[in-house]
Amino acid sequence: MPSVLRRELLLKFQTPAGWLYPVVFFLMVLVLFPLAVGASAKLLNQVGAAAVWIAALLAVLLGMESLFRADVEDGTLEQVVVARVSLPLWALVKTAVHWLTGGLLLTLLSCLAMPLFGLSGQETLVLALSLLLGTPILTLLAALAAALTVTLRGNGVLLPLIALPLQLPVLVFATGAVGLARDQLPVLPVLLLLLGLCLLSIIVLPFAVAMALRLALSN
Amino acid sequence: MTKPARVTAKLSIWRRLWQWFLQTVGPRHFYFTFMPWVSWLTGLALVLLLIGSIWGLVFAPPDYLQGNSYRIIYIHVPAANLAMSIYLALAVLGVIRLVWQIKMAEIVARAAAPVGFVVCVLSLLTGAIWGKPTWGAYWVWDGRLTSMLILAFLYAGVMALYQAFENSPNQGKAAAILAVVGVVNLPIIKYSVDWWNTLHQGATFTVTEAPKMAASMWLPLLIMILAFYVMAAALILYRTCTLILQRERQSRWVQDLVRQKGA
Repeated sequence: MPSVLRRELLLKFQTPAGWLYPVVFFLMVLVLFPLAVGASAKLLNQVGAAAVWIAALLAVLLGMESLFRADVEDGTLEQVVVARVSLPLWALVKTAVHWLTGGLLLTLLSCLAMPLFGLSGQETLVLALSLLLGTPILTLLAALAAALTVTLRGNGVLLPLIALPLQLPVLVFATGAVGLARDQLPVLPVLLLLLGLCLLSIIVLPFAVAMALRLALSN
Repeated sequence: MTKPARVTAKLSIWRRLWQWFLQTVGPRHFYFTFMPWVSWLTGLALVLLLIGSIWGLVFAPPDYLQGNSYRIIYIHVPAANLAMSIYLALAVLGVIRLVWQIKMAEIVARAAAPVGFVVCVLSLLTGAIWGKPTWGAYWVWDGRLTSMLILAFLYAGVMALYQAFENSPNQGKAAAILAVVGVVNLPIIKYSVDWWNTLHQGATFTVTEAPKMAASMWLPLLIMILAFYVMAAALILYRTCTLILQRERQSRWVQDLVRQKGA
């Protein structure tokens, strides 16, 4: 597994464009929101968390279709299966590295919401925490959709259709948490719920991804 | 010496049972077993629908608060109920397909998905129509409505995956995986009215308690729910049989059947 980790990290460092584009996309969507909504500070404060979350959701989906594509096409996946490496673990490591260069960056960048949307420090903290716990779930669900559609020609269209309905509950809970923080209500229960969902998806979803990848191989 | 012999005998019984089961769910056997059911089920569904809707729409007493507008419940609740049940069935069939590799499960699931999608959309539409006079809005973003909308999207995803893998050998497995993962949404829908403070009312029927409505109101509702289930069963069986014919069109028995019907 360390070798897989090293390979994935190396690949990420050698192709920065692939993971930088979604991040730039995220920043651009964030800037678009104030431009479209108008400069009313009160309104911006209210839509801020939602804007960050929607931008993050779209950014996570953006880079996903290529997650397993190269591995399926150049035979890496077959090598992994033949080498009797645990496929769920391999998928988990791969998705985790993808999250490091995607979800984690988005989480760090979400601090920009403080100046952009005039969020308070408390709200920004809750927003960042919800992203920290939520983006792994989003990434894993999108990885599942990517694995399911990896052999299809135009999978870029189908992937969001599959991933989004599964991701929506996360969005609802997370933005709800920031809303609670705005109203000075306790946010811990919602954050703990997100933590639970996050752990659950780390345990369960790699197996589903592995199953989908085996399916892609047998096609 | 006797012990191992008995074990093998036991094994062979199980194996024979398994063989028998596999034969029963084979496409050909399925077709000839269930095709005759379709017309019976359709007739039963029509009768139940007729009784339930006339009773519900004409004879049931008006609600003391909502007047006559509540009568849409006789379509709304059965549709919503059915939409969730069919999704659960998709997930169970998906597990059967993935674990025991039974192709028939996939064909039934493929036949059932559009039916589920249609009743899901129907429940959303009737809910919106009902919401306008009672809540003053066609749509509110509460837990029940949102999770039901997500269910419709899930159906769309499953159907899209079935469509996309139409011609590959492992056709329905991808859709089966999605159906199984998506099943987490069902408890969210079911308990959304308990977990969140919402406009949507709680469950009409529960297994453990007597309904809070008058019998003249809930009896027709029960009949309508039954009618919807029977109707869905008829539709799904019919669609399944059609899909079987389409899939097995190269095989001998289908061609014989076509020749018979043509003659």
